Amino acid sequence: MIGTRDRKYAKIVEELDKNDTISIISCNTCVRLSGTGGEIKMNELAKQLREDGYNVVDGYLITLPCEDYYFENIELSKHIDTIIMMSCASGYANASYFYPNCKIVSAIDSRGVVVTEEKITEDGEVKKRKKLRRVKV
Amino acid sequence: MIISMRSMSYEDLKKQLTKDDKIVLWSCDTCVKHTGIGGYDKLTILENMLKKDGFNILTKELIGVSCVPDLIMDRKINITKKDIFEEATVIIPLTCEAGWDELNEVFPEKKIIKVLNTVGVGICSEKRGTLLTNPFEDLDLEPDPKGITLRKVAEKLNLFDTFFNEDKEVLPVKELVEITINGQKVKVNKGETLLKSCLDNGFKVPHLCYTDILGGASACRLCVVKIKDMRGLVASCSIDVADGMEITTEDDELTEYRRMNLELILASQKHDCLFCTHNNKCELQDLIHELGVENKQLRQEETLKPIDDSSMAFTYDSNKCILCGRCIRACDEVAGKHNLAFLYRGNDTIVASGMNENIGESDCATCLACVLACPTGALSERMRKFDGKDWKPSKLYGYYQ
Repeated sequence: MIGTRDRKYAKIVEELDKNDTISIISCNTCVRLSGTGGEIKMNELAKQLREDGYNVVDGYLITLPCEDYYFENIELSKHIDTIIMMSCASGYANASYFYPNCKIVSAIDSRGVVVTEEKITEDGEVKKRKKLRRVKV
Repeated sequence: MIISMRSMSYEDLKKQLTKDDKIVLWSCDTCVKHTGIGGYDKLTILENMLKKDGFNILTKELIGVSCVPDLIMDRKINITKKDIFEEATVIIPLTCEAGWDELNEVFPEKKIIKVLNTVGVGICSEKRGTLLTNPFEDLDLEPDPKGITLRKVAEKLNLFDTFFNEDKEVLPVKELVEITINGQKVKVNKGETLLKSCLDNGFKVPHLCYTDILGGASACRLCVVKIKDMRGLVASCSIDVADGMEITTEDDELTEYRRMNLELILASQKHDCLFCTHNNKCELQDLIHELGVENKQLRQEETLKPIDDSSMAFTYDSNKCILCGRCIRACDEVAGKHNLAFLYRGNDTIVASGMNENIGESDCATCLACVLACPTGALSERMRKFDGKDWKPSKLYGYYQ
């Protein structure tokens, strides 16, 4: 599973303008399980943005934004010029490919994959610890 | 999607094994399948290759996701599997590093051979192929939103961008028997089901409850065939081939019988294709067109059953369920959760989750193994569009491939 972290709300709105016509697209797998995305988080973000005067027109919950097929099922409203992606970096990259004329804003920070690292101490003892193998963004 | 690539050649893999090893092959059914280096087909190929070279393969295990340790633990202690895992000495996982890691945690006493290296996250595209967009920080690669092809990644990191068998066809090492299908003599693998043998040899036999991964359950009764010297019509998904068998897969009587069965399936629930997310992508619909069912002679069940919308990942609409049992077997065999089962009898039969509770409140891991297995729109991904002043949700039409 790809580990992700919430991006601060202030950081998200820094990239937005009150004149933007916004759509939110959320992944429904890894980020939902990480607690950073999915239906509930998407609805919370949309509500908050609308309360703060941003023009959030619609939102889409799709299973895997890292697969083309799911983007092909979305028909964005005509005037959308900004997309907020609630997905890992690969979903963000795919949104940039499908909507080259839109501003893409990420609502989630991609971290990486959690793996165990083995280290041999000076006494020859093998010590294991969980480590996040970070991805470059 | 997590992108992993093969890190060793087949020869190097063999060097890590001995003929005394008792091997379990293991794969996820998600990221690695989409990137073409995992899933059931690849497990079968690797099994054939290793068996051909004389290695002892105990079993091959397909699991929804390997990055959830509870699912691996469930598999380890499963009553039907635990003896195999106790006997095994080596596990070869076709999983990302997170999966490999979790396997090491759950099976510390086994040798877990790492054949795949994870390189970062990326996208899966039918047109563009699999692309790495965000490599790991510790690799000498830069992120590229357009994606880096796996060939380039392989060259840069000295990995392989293909699966083991790319240059040669590997046939299973099995004893062959000769059977006759529709007057044509064919050689098939002994121990295979008759349905699989027919399909592998290009004979079309309609079926709904059977898949390669899950096998058949004689539930849909569409794969019936005639076998010489055998009474009645036989469900080909539930009978093994035997030497000298003479089979008829097509004649007027079989077609009529299958049509009638399809009509009974259609009549048993309120199938409403217009409002189904699987419209035009439905195995039941395909068979209706294929077998030329043009009207409903039987009155369709009109009572609507409630829709279970409690899961965050998918929806269960029993009105579209044909009771093939594929989801139940997928939950047992792929997810390893045993969270689904048939409940009640006769016309009241439904697929129930947990202790007959809503799916969302049950022990569901939301791995989507059941959704992948469903031949109709009964189990469909939760895809939603939200809009309007009230942010009202509506169904987004699509299906999991």
